[in-house]
Amino acid sequence: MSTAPLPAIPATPSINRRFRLQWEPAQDSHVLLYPEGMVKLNASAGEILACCDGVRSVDDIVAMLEAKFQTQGLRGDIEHFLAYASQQHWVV
Amino acid sequence: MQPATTPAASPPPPFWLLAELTYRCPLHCAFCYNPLHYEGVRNELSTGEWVDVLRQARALGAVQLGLSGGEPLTRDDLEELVAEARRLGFYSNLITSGVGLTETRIAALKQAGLDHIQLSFQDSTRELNDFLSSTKTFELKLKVAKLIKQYDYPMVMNCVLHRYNLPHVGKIIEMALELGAEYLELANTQYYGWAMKNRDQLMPTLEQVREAERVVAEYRERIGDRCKLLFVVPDYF
Repeated sequence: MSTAPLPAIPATPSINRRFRLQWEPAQDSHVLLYPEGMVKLNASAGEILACCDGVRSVDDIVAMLEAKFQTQGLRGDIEHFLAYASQQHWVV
Repeated sequence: MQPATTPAASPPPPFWLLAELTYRCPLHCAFCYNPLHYEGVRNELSTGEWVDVLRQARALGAVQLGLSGGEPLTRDDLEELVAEARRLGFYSNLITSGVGLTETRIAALKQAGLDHIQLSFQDSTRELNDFLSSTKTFELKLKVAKLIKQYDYPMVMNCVLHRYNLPHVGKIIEMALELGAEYLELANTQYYGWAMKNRDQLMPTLEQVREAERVVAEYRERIGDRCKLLFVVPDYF
């Protein structure tokens, strides 16, 4: 892992068109597909990326996931993951 | 009777289906891994049989599909197979020499849902590219690389390495950067088929491989995320 600071999060994150996000029943997880490769996502990462449609803001995504899982205080984790996902070029 | 061993945990699902659709190929590369007498092989699977294979592989969990050969573009049902692969949820990779990849076909393949194109070069120079493949295809490959970018496919450029082009590895990287490849696969020759037959002519020295690795590491530092450089190490020297 790079020690460089994580980049800023796009205002309305969307999946980079160089990746395809899909649910894989055989992996029991969301995956990101790219030329000849695959990133297997854990459950939280999959839920967050599935919200990244290029329209929703980070606020919308936080509200959506807090409502879906009937919890609060997810902002920190979501922002941290989205910064990492930007660094990996998964979201733009 | 007790079973001799406890059953192993089930293996993970397969990841790749590499579909070698045909042995037919317009190139005749000295390092080809295809069998020596492939020109005699004509009993390829039919479209329907391949569709059945795709469905079975997908049901097992395979998600990456490599369409390879031979030259997969020699199959005129390629678009149909790509469309079926897309319906099934595969990420499809066309692994091609570029020969036969006209604008009409590249557009039809996009329409059918092809995700990515891996284009092979034999060298960074016209002379060696054309010599190694026994064809005059260097200019055509450059044209195809432009078409691939024009149609917004991600592009992996592939070059098989051996004693003749290992010293050109820096130039090959420069060419990939110039053509806008997102990935460059520098694959040392694997000695099967024709490559095994020509092994004595192809085998590099250890120093050549080490020097190429050094050049690759230097470029990785310099270019960062612009193009991912994959260096496939030789099986042996």
